[in-house]
Amino acid sequence: MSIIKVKTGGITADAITATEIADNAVVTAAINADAVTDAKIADDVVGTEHLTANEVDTTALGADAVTGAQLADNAVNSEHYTDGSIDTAHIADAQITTAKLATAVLTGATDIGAAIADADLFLVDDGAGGTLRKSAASRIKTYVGEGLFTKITGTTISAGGGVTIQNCFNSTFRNYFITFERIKCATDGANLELDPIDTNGNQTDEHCYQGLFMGKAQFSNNWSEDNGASYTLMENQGNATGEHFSGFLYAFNPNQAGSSEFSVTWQGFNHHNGAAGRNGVTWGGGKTATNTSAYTGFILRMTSGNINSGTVAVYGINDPT
Amino acid sequence: MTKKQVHNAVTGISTMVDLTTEEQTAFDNAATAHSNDEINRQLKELRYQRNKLLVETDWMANSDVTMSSEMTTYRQALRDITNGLDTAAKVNTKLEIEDGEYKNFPTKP
Repeated sequence: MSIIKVKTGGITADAITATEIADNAVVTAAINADAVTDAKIADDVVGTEHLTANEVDTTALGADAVTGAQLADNAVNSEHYTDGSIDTAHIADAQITTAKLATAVLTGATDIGAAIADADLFLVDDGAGGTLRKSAASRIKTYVGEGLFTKITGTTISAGGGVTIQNCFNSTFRNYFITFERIKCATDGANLELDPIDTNGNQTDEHCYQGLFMGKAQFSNNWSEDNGASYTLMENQGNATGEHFSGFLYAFNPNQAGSSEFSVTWQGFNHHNGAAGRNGVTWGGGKTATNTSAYTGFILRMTSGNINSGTVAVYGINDPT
Repeated sequence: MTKKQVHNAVTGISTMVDLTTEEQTAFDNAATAHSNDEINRQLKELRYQRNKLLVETDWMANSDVTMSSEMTTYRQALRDITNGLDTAAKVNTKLEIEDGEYKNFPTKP
């Protein structure tokens, strides 16, 4: 076959068509740089073998082009999360277990700094079925039953001519429980008295009561008044080392003025004054014929000399109704 | 001036305040009266105990019962137990207890 050489100027533009080019005749040297455009590449013909390793960069990926299918299992770790970017929508239900909670969730929390109030909330597992519910602290009282007593106040007695407890009786509670712990007197043989008072710190009501002491050697003593200025809880109290009065008193309706509204009953252990000393039990009770005004507190004192020491506490009795 | 303790249940605060003049007078008078009345308090106790023992044997004075001379002496000794007790210390001696009994009381026959 003869070869005809044609000078480049001898071929007009666009004169050579694809039919004049033999199969596999065009070599890469005959193609200009950047001459092959997207249009010259058929769909789906570029395979991974034509990509240089590490050559595909993020600009070659369309937005949202990488799907879950393009990620290997367990390939995404915490370094790929932007700080603070994981929200609750990305945590499946019931997936946070106690093991995922730091101990400091409890130990590092700030103490409530006050008594638990009705409105405070607790987390509970409703019916142990795994459903967490909130519960107001007030519901605990319903479940366990409200305590019988609510402490109102208490004080350690400093030596003096008496102890006045102000503002311990009010409309919150109808009845009260008062404790007297190791009440010691300065003067041997003095009586321990309780005197209810109104908001002005006094009253002139008359009290009717009966007290009884039973001690060693079948010793007993009793005392009473029909129109007493105060209630005598213990008569002839000893003041030797270790001798004291410890007991309790129920006060009914102190904050209600009127006829026979206020009454008391008490019981205690004490040391009756005597040559050999007498340990025994005191109890008694009484009422006030008419409280001319509501009582808001009381005075505790000896009929002679100081009260030297002891503690007094007042509790309101919760009304179960 | 004697002080008294005032405790406010609302604030939980206790303060020591002087007794008023009237309270101080009553406090002092009570102390004096208490001191002066010591022997009477002790005698009251002594009589109370004595009377209990007398009551225990009152039934022996019934007309259909013959009381022994020992019992008569015992009851008379009980009635006389306060004789000569002119100080509180003497009364306390009568009220001394030993092994659960009044050791200086007459012995019951």
